[in-house]
Amino acid sequence: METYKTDEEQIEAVKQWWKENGIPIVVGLVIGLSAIFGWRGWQAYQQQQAEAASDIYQTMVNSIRNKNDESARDAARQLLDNYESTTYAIYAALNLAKLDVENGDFTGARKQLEYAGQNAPTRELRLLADVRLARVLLEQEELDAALKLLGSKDFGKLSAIAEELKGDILSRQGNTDAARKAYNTALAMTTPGSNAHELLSLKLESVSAPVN
Amino acid sequence: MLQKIRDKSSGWVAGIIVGLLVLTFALFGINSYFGQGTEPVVATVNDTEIKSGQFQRALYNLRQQMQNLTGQSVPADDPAFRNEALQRIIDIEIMNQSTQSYGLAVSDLRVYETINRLETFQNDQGFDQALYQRTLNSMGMTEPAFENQIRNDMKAEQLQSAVAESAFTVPAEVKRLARIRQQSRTFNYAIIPVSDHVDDIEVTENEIVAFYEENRSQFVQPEQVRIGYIELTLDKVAERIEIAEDEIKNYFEANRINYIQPERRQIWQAKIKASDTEALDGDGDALALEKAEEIAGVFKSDADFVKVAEEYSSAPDSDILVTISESGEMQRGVLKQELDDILFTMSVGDVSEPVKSGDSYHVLKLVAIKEAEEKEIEDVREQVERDLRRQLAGKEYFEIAEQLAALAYEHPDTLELAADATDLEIQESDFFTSEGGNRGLTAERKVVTASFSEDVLLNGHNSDAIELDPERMVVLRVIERKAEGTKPLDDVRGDITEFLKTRMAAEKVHEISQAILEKLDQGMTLNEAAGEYRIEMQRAEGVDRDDISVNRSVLRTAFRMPAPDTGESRVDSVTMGDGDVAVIELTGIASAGELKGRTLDSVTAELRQLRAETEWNGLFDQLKSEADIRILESNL
Repeated sequence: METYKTDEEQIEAVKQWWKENGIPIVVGLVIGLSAIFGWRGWQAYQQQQAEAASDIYQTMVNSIRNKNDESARDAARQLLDNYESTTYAIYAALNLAKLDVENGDFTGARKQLEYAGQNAPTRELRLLADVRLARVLLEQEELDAALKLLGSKDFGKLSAIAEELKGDILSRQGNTDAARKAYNTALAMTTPGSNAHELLSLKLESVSAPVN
Repeated sequence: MLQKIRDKSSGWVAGIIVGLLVLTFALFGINSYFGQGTEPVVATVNDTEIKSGQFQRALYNLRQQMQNLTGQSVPADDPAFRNEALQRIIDIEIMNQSTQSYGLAVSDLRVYETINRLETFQNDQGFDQALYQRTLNSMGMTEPAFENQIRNDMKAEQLQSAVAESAFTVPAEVKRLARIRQQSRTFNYAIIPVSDHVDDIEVTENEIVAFYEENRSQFVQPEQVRIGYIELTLDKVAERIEIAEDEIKNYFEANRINYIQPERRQIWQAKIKASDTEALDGDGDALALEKAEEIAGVFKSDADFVKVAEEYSSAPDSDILVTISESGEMQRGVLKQELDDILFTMSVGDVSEPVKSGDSYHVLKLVAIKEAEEKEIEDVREQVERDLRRQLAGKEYFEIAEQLAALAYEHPDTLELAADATDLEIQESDFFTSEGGNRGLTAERKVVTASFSEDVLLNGHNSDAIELDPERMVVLRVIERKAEGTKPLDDVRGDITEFLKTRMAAEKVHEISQAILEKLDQGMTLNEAAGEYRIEMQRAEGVDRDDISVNRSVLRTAFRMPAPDTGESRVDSVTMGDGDVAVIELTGIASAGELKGRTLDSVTAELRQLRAETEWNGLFDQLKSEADIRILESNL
């Protein structure tokens, strides 16, 4: 370690060191700080976007609950157009599909559900969109397409719903044995005594009866 | 100055000191990176730890909730409860992590709005900041923590509502279910009753004894007691009072007003309402009013009551429900205030406008008035005397009650002193258990509790004075105890015999049903097979699910059986509650014809609700199944 005789000498040495190293340090600091603030700014922006989308989502849900379809659709469109990257856009598509179904516009509903099924950020949301899509296909008498969709993947904990739909489709096609099997599979995954269980039993008992 | 420090700070000692300082500063606060202190972790959800304290709080809250709900306290170590509490925390944690990864957000503004609306923090003027802080303090929570919890709740609500609100059902599904529900079935059935076979069965003494020995625990007779008691009632006191004829007369004169037969009015009344408010696209109320006006018109014409009632009273399943009734003796105060006010301003022959009361419209017609009648003492003497006696007895009752309570307390080993002093009798009850007797005094909960209390049962003391109602009081003591024991065989032989006979008869009935099923399998018809056992076959032709002419269990089973193929039949049997067995032969299913719009609407609503539930549960279970959940049993 170097030793200095006086304070003046020491100050001189510091100045010298700064002259040699000052610029890289300042540049480094500037880059570092702007990275930090930039990241923070990006996060703040994301948060702000999400909060704005959240408000619109809330408006949409309230409109649906108040049966104000027009205002619900407006809110949903805004989410799909301006907040495409948020989960709220997927929620908007799911709700538009429901409104379409209630208005008898099954082609419209199908488009929304296909969008949600392909763009939802998480698996469970994609599975949800898919079973709902299959239900719309059933309504549209596109039984083969619906069956194919339901057979194309593992529906995880949504399998009971998927199997029930398979049963509905198969019994409509007159394939009673396969329909019974699907209903039984669904029953095995459903809590006994629940409404869902009761509905499934009812359907199972009626398979092959001339009720279609 | 700097020079001096430098001079002193050279050398290895200074080096070590500085080194230690550096280390201290470098590691300061590092424990926060390794989890707070030593609080045990009870579970982990992905990378989040759930601490023991958090679990204890949830457990405490859950127990409080159960206690409020059932009025019973739950032991803290009940394993089912501990598990439920833990599952709740885990569920909440999964919700929070999911809303995080979904990127759901709720702004500070919305959080404040929500808190401002919470009723807990409201006073007359609205949100109360001081109340808010006080409440949080008492819960041991900081404002940011509470706000964060509210935010999490709001995000979780979004997660759930996004699935539940967007759930739908499609017409194909609705129609199918409505058809299934409205279908009808045709089947034959034969019921084999246990009662036909009970009498044929012989039960031996050996069988009875064996059953008694094997089931001793069923024949336990719990401890019983018999009590002696003094009962004081206001009526008893009233009977003992002596009154002179004059007093009765005076009392009557002073209270004449109480003995007037009030005015009574003879009326017709029509009550009209929509079967439910949602009915008829929300027009139910308007249609009910229209109907009410029509009926008011009919009331005005001089129609005959019976004819009007017959014509306008509706079937119970109509959209607009009409009830028409007549009352000859309507007094003031019987009808609701708003109807009363109108009725007692009407003149004979008047018909009111439709009046809304509750959810119904009412139309009143005043047919006749019976004026109020003054009574003379001869008409009501008995009632006057009773009233007077009771009035005079009131004061004396309390004096005697006090005396009774005091003497029974001062002389805890006998009731006789109290009985003599109050001139009341000591009565004795039959034996009863801590469940109480079937009727009379020993059926009173307070009496049973007192009889089996430590002081009365074990120490043999008098009970406290027990007030059963404001006019009835009792003190009691146990006069005989019968210890817990097994009921002797002779007491229960009859029950056992009956039970064994029924059980064996049920087995017999089951065998017969199996034999009949076998014969059906071999191609016999139910009529023939049942005939061999002299059982009459019954036929249900095209009945629907709610048919009431067919036994409930039989009907349920017939509707549960898979549909037969055309021209074939299916058979099944069902054992009913009393052991009777029914053999059922299902021959046909018919689908419903026209489906009613209202039925379809209600099925749509029902299915939508069901989808919302099952889809949300499925989605949440999926989220849960993808999480890495570990429970550390040893720390629970």
